[in-house]
Amino acid sequence: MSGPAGFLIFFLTYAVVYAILAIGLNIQWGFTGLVNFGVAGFFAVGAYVSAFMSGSPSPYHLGGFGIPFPFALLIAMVVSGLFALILGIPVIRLREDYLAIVTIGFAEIVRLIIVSERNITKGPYGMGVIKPYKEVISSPMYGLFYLGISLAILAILYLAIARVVGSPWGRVLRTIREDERVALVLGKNVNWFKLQVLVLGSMVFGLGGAVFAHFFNFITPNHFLPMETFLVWVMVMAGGSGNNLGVIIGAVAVRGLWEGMMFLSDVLPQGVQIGAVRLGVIGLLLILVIMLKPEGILGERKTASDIL
Amino acid sequence: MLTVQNLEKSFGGIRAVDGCSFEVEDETITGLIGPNGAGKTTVFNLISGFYQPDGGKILFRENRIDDLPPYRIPHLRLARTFQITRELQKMTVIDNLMVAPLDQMGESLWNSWFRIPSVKNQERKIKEKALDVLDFLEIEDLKDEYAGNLSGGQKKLLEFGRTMMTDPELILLDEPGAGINPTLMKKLNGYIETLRSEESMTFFLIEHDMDLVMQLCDPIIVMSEGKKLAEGSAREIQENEKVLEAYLGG
Amino acid sequence: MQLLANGIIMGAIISVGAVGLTLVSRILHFFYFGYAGMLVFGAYFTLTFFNFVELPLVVSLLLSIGLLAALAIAIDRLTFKSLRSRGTGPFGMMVVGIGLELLLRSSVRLIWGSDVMRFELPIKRALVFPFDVRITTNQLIIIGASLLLMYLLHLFLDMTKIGKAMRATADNIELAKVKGIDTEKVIMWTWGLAAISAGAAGFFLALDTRLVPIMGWKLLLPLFAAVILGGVGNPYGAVVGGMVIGLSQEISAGFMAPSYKPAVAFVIMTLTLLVKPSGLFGRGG
Ligand SMILES: Nc1ncnc2c1ncn2[C@@H]1O[C@H](COP(=O)(O)OP(=O)(O)O)[C@@H](O)[C@H]1O
Ligand SMILES: [Mg+2]
Repeated sequence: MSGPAGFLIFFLTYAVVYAILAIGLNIQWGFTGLVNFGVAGFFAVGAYVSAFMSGSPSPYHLGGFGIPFPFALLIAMVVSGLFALILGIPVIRLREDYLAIVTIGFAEIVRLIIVSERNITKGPYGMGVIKPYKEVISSPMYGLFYLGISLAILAILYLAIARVVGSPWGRVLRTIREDERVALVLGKNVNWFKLQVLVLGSMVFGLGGAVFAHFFNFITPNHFLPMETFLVWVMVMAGGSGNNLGVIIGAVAVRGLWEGMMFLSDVLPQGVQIGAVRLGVIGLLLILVIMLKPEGILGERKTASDIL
Repeated sequence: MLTVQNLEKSFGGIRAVDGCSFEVEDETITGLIGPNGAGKTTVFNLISGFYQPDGGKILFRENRIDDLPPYRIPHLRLARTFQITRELQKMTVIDNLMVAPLDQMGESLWNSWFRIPSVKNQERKIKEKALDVLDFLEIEDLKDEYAGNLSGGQKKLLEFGRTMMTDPELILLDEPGAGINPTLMKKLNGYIETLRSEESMTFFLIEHDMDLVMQLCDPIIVMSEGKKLAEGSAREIQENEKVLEAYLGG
Repeated sequence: MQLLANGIIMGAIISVGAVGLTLVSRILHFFYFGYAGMLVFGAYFTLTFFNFVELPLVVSLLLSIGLLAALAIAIDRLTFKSLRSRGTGPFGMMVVGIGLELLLRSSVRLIWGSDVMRFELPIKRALVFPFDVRITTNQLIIIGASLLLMYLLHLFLDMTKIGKAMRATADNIELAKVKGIDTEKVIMWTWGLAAISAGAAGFFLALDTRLVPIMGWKLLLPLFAAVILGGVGNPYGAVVGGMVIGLSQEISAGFMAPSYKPAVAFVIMTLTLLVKPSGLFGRGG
């Protein structure tokens, strides 16, 4: 499919990828108040791992191991989670502003490794990623088919996360967000919960990375700039931290704004770069959300526990 | 029940707790008084594991607890409240209480995903208990209100109730009467008395209101400048010259 | 030996930048990512005055610092001031700082374009020192000017009334307020000092390499590492921290791929936070 329908499918699939990332960050920041500025790092890990796992063998990069798509996704999640675990065990106890710097540094290091280790990742040249099930789906319909897969993944994720954030586990997370000391006097092992949240959220980022890789079919280190992290932050903060439906709407809206700015090129004077404008607009959004609407546009639902 | 021996804690140059020793006996309501800055809150923070002592020992039921992380302390049935209430603002009153019970099954990710019936079962019991506590404190009509919207006195009650939810045997109360009206104060005293006599709970409380302390507490421990100054019944404390001096001088 | 020399040059640049960043981080209570934007703006302002207006280099730098200070104070008035009065915590401040970094970088790209730019200086051959160490005249200027600048900053912080007030505020903000120090005034001066620090570091970096809008962001991680290593709020610590980070980064290039230099800063910073969050010299927190 091409033309407007093709563009719509492209746009929606891209939005689904970000909705997945936004749900991951919502678990960490929205529900627990855990600051992770390293979203792009885990996103990259998921994308590259899934690419290594699913591709056919190549002398130019690690893998491929020809593993079926669903398993490649799972492995991408597990490896992302392992990265989070290894990073988290020492640093989870740090104060939130230190954690912010450490995680942003972590994501930059991940990107640096991808750029530098050309034998593994093909470095800045980027590597191709397979289209799953392309043998069974006719190519004009493939975009729609993959959108369907992505939506199904998002739906499963949404339900799985809704179940735990509405449980006593989720209630502990909110307690930690509201006041760590209260969580402590109620006997909750705060660092252990935070570590779980860091790992679970990062597994979701890994999943987002994998879905992205198989959608784009070509990944380079430039897909994982710190900007990606801040985009997801805008989605979560604008959509309403602690509200998964809100952050999905946030993801679609911010993605729409991002793509929409492409049409600015007709209006803007010659030579003005869309990339620079986008950078500025996202920066402005971050500032405005904190200054005008720190609780997000939709806000949180009232009952924390809804398991009954 | 609780033994504190030669406890020491300094902040920079300030010796906030300076070789303090005392005991809290089973099923008493022990009072801790002293001028502002005497080190009372710091003692509570040491007992509840928020600070590591620089010296001395803390024993609870003959076991040392001074090297435990704070989240382990409540599991020994030793609970505390804060001098300035800390409610979970953006959570409802009932959720503020329901989060409190220790070792809930549903606090594990695995159980929340895969063992829903048992989690639900326990959750039902926890909710019943939370409603009972709200009923006992006579604030059940607030159960769906955000805790952040409560009045100062209601927050005090909520924090007290939250502590009850952890089934403590010893409760440390840091100025439970500060900032609440006399009527509510009387009510709170009643609750404390009831829980002591009917549930065999022990209370260790810091309080500034002398009338209240004299009425409610026995024995009373007096601290000044990080040290224990005196200990005894209300009468003994009132007649103790060192105590009078500390209060008038400080 | 060459690596050592490179390390000293890099260390000087980081040190100069870290002094401003450490005071901002401490006095304003948060890590200011927008500092990267200040660095870049400083470099481009100087370049504009020098290359296009054709003013002398020193005058260009001074003008640029003045403009930068005005910009920083204007930004504070528009954003942080109201957030301070609302009691916004370090996290909110940090997010606004990140937003500003993106906004400033975007403005640089819109104003000056994204292409690489350089100072139009006559190209001189590098001087050869014993052990075949090569150092360009620009680099000698950087080292000399950094030393001079740090000496002046030292005099300012140690001798002037406002400098002492700044150090007192960095030591203990509550105490400073009690002592009757006008903290809003101190904050304005902090921005001014940050402008000097960022303007000079940005200029040095541009002189040593070239100008690209991303240069500030790339220096940010080593800068934070220097600030944390030296103890947040300790300007002397920041200088030492900057030297340590600069040297370790360059020396690591002797046995690792040079692209991993930022990773060295990251590892040192994380280890500091884990082992001694107050940094080498105590203060901070
Ligand atoms: N976290 C802390 N850092 C520095 N000083 C502290 C800290 N906590 C308490 N202090 C100091 O210790 C002393 C005792 O304080 P505190 O225990 O709160 O007294 P009280 O509760 O008896 O009024 C005071 O001088 C106080 O300033
Ligand atoms: Mg106190």
